[in-house]
Amino acid sequence: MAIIVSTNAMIKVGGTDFSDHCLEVRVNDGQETREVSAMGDTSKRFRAGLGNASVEATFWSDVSSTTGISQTLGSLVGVTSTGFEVLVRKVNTARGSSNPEFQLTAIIDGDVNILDEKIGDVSQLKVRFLPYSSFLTVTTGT
Amino acid sequence: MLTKEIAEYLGGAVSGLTVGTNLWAMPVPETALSDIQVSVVEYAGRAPLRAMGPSLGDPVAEIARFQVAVIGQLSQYLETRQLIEEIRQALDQLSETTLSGTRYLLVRELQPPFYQPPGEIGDPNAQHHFSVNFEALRERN
Repeated sequence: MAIIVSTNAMIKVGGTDFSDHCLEVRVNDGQETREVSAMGDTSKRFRAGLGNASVEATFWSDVSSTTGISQTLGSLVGVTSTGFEVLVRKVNTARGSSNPEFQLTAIIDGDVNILDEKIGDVSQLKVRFLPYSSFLTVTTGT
Repeated sequence: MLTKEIAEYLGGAVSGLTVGTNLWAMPVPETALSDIQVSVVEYAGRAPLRAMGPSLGDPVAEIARFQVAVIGQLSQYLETRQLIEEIRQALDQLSETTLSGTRYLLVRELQPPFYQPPGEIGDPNAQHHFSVNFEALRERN
């Protein structure tokens, strides 16, 4: 895939496609590091630690129905949560090697600003998902 | 079309205004006969609010800007000023309204009504001109 201007990314949360409310989505696929420097070294050395993935997204707020993004995210906050599916693609077309799908079995990390009202503005809702269990990159299937 | 939707709304919301008689969704035509005339015209707006979506898909909201102008005869300064105030109050903070099938999220004034002296705008008929500018967040129709 060539360099493109992003206009049509996909994000599904808990099985619902909220792409048409999303104005920004970010998938972070990184890892922690552990220092293994020892006597005699002249510079610090590290080893790979555990993976540290996350998904961050910003949506236009919509409280118009119980299945809207605001209520959906609010309902996913809970101490007994065992994770829900978050799917992200760069382009909302079939997934493949040039359009991988990032799959996170996720819980919500930190604040979800269910309401964030400023006079005269269309309010936005920001959320960060962290892995409850798996983080996968899928390039096959649909 | 925004100007038509706004003009029709004003025709119902402000007493004494009738589309095609003294209220126009365009600059006031030379054939207009009424002493006081109101026009609604668009000007440059802002980029729309967008979410992710397919090519050529509709935006979350368009941000259009328009001006409502009231033109009155030389002896009608107070009437002209009063009418622009009524229009301002009918439109500013108009929210969640559907006008001719188009959903308007919000209409807000950009500044209070302002006066443009006849000499300043080159009006040979020496009429009073009051205008007020608005911004409308609306769905694409």
